[in-house]
Amino acid sequence: MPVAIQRPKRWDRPFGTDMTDYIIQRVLDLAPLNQINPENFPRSATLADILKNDARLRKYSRGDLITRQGDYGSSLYVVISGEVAVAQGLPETQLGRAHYKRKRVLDVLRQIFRNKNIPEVRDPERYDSETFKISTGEYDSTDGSHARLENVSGVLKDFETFPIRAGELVGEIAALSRTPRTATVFAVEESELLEIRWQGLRDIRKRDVGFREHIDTLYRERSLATHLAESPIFRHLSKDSLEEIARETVFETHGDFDWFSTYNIKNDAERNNVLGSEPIIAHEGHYAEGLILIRAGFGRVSRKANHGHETLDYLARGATFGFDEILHHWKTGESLALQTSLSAVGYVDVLRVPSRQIEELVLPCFEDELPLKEEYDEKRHTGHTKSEHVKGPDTGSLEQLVEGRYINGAATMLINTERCVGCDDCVRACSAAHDGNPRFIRHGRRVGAQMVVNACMHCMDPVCMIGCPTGAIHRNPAGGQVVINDDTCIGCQTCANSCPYENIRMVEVRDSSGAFILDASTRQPIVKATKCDLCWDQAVSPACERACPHDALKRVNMGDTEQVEEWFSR
Amino acid sequence: MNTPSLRNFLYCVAFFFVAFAVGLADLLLDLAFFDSSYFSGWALTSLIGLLALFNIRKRLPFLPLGDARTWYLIHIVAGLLAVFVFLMHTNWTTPKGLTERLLALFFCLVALSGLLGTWLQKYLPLQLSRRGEVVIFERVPRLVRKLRENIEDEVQNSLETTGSSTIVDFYQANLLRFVSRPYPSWERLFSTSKRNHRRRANFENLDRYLNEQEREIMHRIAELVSAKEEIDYQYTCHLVLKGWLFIHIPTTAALIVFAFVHIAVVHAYIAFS
Repeated sequence: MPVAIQRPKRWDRPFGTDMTDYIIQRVLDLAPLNQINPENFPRSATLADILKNDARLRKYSRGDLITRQGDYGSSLYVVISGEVAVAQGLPETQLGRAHYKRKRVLDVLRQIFRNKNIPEVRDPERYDSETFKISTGEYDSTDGSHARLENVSGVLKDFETFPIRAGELVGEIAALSRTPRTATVFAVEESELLEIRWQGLRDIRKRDVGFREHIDTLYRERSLATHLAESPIFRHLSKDSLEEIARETVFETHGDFDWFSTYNIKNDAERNNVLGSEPIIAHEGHYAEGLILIRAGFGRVSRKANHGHETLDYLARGATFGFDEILHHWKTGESLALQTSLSAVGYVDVLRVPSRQIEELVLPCFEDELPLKEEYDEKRHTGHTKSEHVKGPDTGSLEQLVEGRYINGAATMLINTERCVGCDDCVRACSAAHDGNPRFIRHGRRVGAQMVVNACMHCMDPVCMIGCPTGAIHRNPAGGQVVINDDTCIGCQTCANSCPYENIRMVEVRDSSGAFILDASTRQPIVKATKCDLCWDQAVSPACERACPHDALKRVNMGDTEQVEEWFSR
Repeated sequence: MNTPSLRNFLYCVAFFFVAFAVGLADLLLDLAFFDSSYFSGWALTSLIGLLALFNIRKRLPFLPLGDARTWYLIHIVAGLLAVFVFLMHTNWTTPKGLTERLLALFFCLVALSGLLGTWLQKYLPLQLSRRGEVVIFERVPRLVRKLRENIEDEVQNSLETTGSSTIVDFYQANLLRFVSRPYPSWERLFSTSKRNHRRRANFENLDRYLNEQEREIMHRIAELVSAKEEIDYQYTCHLVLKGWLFIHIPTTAALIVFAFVHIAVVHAYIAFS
C-alpha cells in the first residue's frame, strides 16, 4: 500500500519560528527595510510573507560570531539593534571552527547492513517531522548557542575592524557571489540581527529596484576593498597606498550573471563560436590601461590565430591579467601592447587598477622578486622561460574545458579513458556509500583522453543554488561541498534545470517496502533532487576516486592549475 | 621523476628486496638443515591470502582500508612474488601426486590469467580510447537496436521509393543476422576482421546493380553497418576486459580450496608419521 503525504511546498518549513507579526512590523519600520515598497510584491508572496518564512531574528551577545571568514553561507544580515564588527585575518584558534564530522568505523560497518536493494528509499515520516533542522549552509545556532570570540577587546585593539551599526547590512558579498565569507563578523555588544536567507533576498532584490541597487552598491564598494586587501600583489603596501589604489580602481562586471540560463540551449554551431559572444574585457594589441584582477567568475585568455582565437589559459578568482605588459613598460620605458585578450566566460567581476598606480606604488616594492630583464625578455619572446615546461591540457582540450565551462568545477570528475577498464568499481563504491544509489553516471563529454563525467562538480560558482526556493541545496559549512538537504527539498526541479552540466537528477522516492511515496492530493510520486555529495560524511572520501584501482579517476579542482596540468600530462 | 613513475619504481624495488629476502631465508634454512619447504609454503599461503584480500577490499569501498590503486599495485607485486615463492616451494620442478599437480595447475592458471588480465587492462583501454567515443557496455544492446531500426527504415524506404526489392533481398541475405544483436568479433581485437572485409566486398558487388537513388540509400546503410562494426569491436573489448576475471576468480577459489587440502594433508602426514 503506497504511502501518501502532502507534497512539500516552499514555505512548509519557515527559516525561523520566531517571526511573529509584531517582529515583522518592527523590522519593516527600520532602515533599510522601510525603504522597500511593499506594493511591488505580489499577493502570493508579500514582503511580510518573505520575512516571515525566509528570515529570522537572531540575538547575539558580546563576542558571538555571526559569520566566519572562509565559511560558506548565503544569508544577508541586517543589524536591527546593537553593533557588530567586521574583521579579516583573525587567527583560526579564535574562531571555534567545528570539526569535520565524518562517520566512524562502526557507523560505516553498520552501513554495510543498512544499504537497501530498493532504489531511493526514504522514511516518509521524516518529511512530516516537526523536529527537523533547517540547513542554512552556515553553522547552526537556532538553539541560541554561538561560537564566540574570547577576547573581543584584544581583537578590537590588535586587528583592524570595521563597525556595522543598526540599519546597516552585512554579509552581502558571500550571498551575492556564492563565495566563502570574506570576513569574520562578531557582536561588539548585545545585538539583534535579521538574517535573510538567499531565497528571500533573491525575491526582495527582484521586486524592489531601490533595495537591489543599495545592496549592489554595497557589494561593489566592500568587495573592492576586500579583494584589494586579500590580493598578494598588494601585500607590501601601506594603508595609505592601498586607499589611494582603492580610490582609482574601477569595479567592473562583464557578462551575464545568469549565464547558466542560456548555456544549455546553445547548439553545437553556437558553441563553436562561443568566443565571439563573450564580452571582451581587454583586447589584444590595445594599450594596457591597468592591471586586471579577477574578483569572481572566470576569464578566458586568448590570442588571434588566423580567423579565430586560440585559448591559452583561463583565469579564476585571484588571478591577474596585464602584469607582464605593465612590468615591461616599467623596466624598459617602452610601451608594450597587450599580448593576449581577456574575455568573460559566463560572467566575471574584475577590478581594474590603473597602470600608473601599479608602476608607482606596487612594482617598486617587488623589485627584488621580479624577474631580471633578460629572463623577462626571454619569457616574452618564447612564451615561457627555459625552466618552464609546457604541460597539461593541449590547446584543443583547453578550448573544450573553457567552452564547456568545466573550469567552474572544484571537484570535477575526470576519467582518463586510456586507463579506465570500465569495471564500474567507482559506480559500485558510490552506490555503497549512498544507500545503494549511485550519485553519478559514468558517462560524459570527452576532452582529449579525459572524460568529464556527469557528476556534480561542486562548482566554484554553484548556479544550482540560485533558484532553490527552500535553501535545500546549499554549501556544506564543513567543507564547502554543494549538498542537498533531502528533508527540505520540495522536488521543484529548479536546481536540476539550473545546473548547466545536467548533473542533478530528480528521483521518485519510495518507502522501505519499495512502494512510491505519493502526493496525497494528486497521487503522483514525490520527487527529490539527488546528486554527488563528495561523500562528505563518509569515513573516507570520495569513494569513487578511492575505488579506482587503475588510477583512472580523479576529482580535480579546475581552479588549481597545477592539479589540472598534472592530471592531463599523465 | 613524476609521482606515478616514482611510485612504480618503489614497488619494483620492494619486489626485488622482498624476493631477495625470501630467497636468502630459504637458502639459509637449507644450509642449516631445516626443511625450507615449510617456510616457503607458509610464505606462499600468506601471499595468496594477501592477494585474495584485494577482492574483499573492493567490496568495502567505504572502509578506511587504503585506496584501491595502492591495493592493486600491491596485488601485482605480491602476485609476482607468489610466482617466485611458488617456484622455490616446488624446487623448480614439476610436482608429484594428483593433489599437488592440480594445485600447481590452478596456481599456473591464476598466475597466467592475472598476467594476461594486467596486460589486457593496459592495452585495451588505450585502443578503445584512441577510437574516439567509448561506448558504455550496458548500452550496447540499446544502441544495436537503434541501429537496426535505422537500417530497416532505410531498407523499407528503398522498397517504397524505388519499387525494387534488391536492397531488401541484400539486407535479408547479408545483414539481418549481423544487425540483430551485438556480435563479438574476436579476430578484430588484434587484426583486421575477415568477416567485415567480406561484408564490404558484398556491398561493392551489389553496387553495380543499383541506380543512383538506391546507391544513396546503400551508402547510408553502409555507414550504419560501419557503426555497428565499431560497436561490435568495443563490445568485444569490454567482454574481454570483464571476461578474464571469470577465469581468474573461480580458479583462485579452487586454488584456495586445494591449498587448504594440501596444508591439511601435509600436516596430517607429519602428525601420523
